[in-house]
Amino acid sequence: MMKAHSAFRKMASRIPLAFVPAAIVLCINIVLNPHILSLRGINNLSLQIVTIALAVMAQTLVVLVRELDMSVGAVVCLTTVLVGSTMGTLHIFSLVLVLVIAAAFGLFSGLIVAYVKIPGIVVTLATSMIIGGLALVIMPQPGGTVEEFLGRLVNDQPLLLPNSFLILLVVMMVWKYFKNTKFGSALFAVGGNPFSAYASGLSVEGAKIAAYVGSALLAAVAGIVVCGKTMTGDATIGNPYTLSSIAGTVLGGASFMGGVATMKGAVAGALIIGVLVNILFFLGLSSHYQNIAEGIILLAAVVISVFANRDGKD
Amino acid sequence: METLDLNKTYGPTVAALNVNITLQPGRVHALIGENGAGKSTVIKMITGLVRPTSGHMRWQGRLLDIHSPLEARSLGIVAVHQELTLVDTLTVAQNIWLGHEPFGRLGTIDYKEMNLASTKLVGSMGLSLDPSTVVGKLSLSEKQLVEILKALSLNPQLLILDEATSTLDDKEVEVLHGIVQALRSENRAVLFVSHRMKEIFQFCGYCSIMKDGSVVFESDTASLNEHLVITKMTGREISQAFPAKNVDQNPAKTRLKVEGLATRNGLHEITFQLRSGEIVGLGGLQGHGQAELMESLFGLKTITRGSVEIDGKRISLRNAPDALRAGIALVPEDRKSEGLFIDRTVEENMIACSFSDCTRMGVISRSRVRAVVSTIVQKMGVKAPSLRESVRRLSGGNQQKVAVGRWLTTHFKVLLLMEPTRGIDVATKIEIYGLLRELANAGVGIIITTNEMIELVGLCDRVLVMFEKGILTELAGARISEHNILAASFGHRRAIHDEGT
Repeated sequence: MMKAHSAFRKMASRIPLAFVPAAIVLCINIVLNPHILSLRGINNLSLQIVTIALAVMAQTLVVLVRELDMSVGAVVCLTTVLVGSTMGTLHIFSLVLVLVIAAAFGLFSGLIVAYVKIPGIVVTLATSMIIGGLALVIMPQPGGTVEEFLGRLVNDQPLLLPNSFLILLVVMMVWKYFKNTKFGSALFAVGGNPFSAYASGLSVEGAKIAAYVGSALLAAVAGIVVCGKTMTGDATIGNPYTLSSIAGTVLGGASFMGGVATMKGAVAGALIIGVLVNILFFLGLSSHYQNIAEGIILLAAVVISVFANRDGKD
Repeated sequence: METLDLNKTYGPTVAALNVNITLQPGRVHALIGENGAGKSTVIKMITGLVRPTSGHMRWQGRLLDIHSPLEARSLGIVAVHQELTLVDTLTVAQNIWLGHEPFGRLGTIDYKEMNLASTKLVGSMGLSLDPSTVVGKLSLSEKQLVEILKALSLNPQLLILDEATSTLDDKEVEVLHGIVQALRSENRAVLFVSHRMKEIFQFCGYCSIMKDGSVVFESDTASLNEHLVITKMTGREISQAFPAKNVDQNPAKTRLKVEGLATRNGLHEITFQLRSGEIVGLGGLQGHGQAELMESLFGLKTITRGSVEIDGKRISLRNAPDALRAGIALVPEDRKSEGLFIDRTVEENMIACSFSDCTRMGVISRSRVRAVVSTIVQKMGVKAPSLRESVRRLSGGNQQKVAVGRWLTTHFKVLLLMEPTRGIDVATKIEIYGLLRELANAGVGIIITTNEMIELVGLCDRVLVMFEKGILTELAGARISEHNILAASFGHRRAIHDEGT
């Protein structure tokens, strides 16, 4: 009996706290609109949440090393534009191209943050303007061609599980692997205490650069999923993702002081935001209300986390 | 390990002078000295944190230079410092193996192996510590033990314990003693720095005593006793001119009265009085609570217990404005970052503490500023090319005069000075001693912290020696001697003589 109890507690401790409010908003959504439990409804919800979840994971990776990435949304924009404008000629290799370009931008931001030692929020604010501007230059109006296979890859739902959800699972598994490598442990150590990490022979610069590259790659995957959903390139479609990603990261329990974050938490954070958007949409409120709601939730989450972490340090 | 004529200079300051220390395998070697004697510098050179200006090291018979902590570590030289270098957000096991984790297949960290090895290591020390606990939840002494475990996990040939026992209790020190003896029997070398005289004799077979950057004495500890060690550390000439002390203080009234003061970060049972016209020095080795005491008297640290009175009136010290209202002024240790607005002008710095005296209807009035500034320049003898020059351009001594001088128009009753003469040339030092004495004679009570023994001896009317965050003893009159201050700094009450030596 005791054993079963402690096993349950152990299991419960592995589930991020953020799943509790996530479950609550999900229940509210189901009560308001039971249709989301239909096959179609589940697929739509999954698509909605997976794109946000990828963006939140991108942000979480950077927050883990005590930085911020303001270019998540811009990378999503550029990705859809590049896919839209190159898929006609490059076909599937267009996806490889966007991943490489995104990684290059992540590397660029990371190098400046790590070696010039400028706060990441400033560096990526600048690079986000460059990347977003570039996307608009390439494609001032939404358009381009997106091949059928990407649409199917993202939208199909062969059994009960939507493909988009499987994409998220694959990304989570890749993270689970990396988390347990030297690289992954370095991210946690550098975020927790850069000085200790350095004294233990880890590269603080390397960890920061890796976090920005990883963030850009995840944002690009989010962009590819968005592209498959809308079947067009659109140079402004990704912009809301930057703030959503920060809100989701906080909701997911990551600490802005670095060193504390889980990707499961990130997914839970994304779930809260995604479902909330759904509810507002169902209530017939315009997307502007979405901004207000997200802002309030972000503020509430930050305030709560500050009070929760205030343990009387002098 | 052998050091050959190691030298380290910082600008004109000599931190280490021709240091020769031979660390033999199977021997626990103590390094002893007062603040600024050069212990830390030597350790930093051995562990690759700083490069020697000249000189070499020999490691297992091989002549070499150590360029980085990583290089030292790869040789088997591992140091445990007083400042903790743990990541609070990681577990005990993750911290112990940080940077040299055991790997399994696919290049992933083998957490099972890591936890197993940690449990073994913890067990071998006779401790009960769950390796999966997050370090941030541990107490200070547990963290210190993890730090030591981390060093041991690197399998050191030379283990350096730099004040590693300062947060440990008797039982934990006993455990560490066992480990050190085990290392010794495995023919490893240990270098041990501690402020507790008892431990030096308990742990070490050999000791080197440093003074003013050089090793002045070395010997087997068996042929030594505590008095002899302290005597070897002392012996500096008081060569500077200090103003006459305030001998007759009987009629003077009590300015500041502190009773049973305690703070959250460790100060406890602090009780003392400061009389009008008196200069009191806080002695002791670095990090024994001198800075915390000063900061708590200025409302910068939360006082958890005890009372503070000024002129017989009880005051509360929740923040700096409280202290200012009560008439307490503080000149912090670091002039450039804390004491001054380093890039603002001399004039602006001088009026910073008496801003409201310099305004007319809320707007700065040139004539009032001039009045304040000229008072300060006159009293303190500040030498500046122009009062509109940024203070950064002034010499250290003149910067300090500005930092002290700006309080002059505020009618303070108690002046707290931290390291008032650090980095200042001798002539200006003497000038500052004179100024402080003048202030005291005008009725102010002054408390100073200083790393310079001669200032405690030469300048102060009384010295309170701090040890492990409390006041160990109070010295006055002829009992203020280098010998007595050092004895008390090492917690050695019995060695205090009645007369100065």
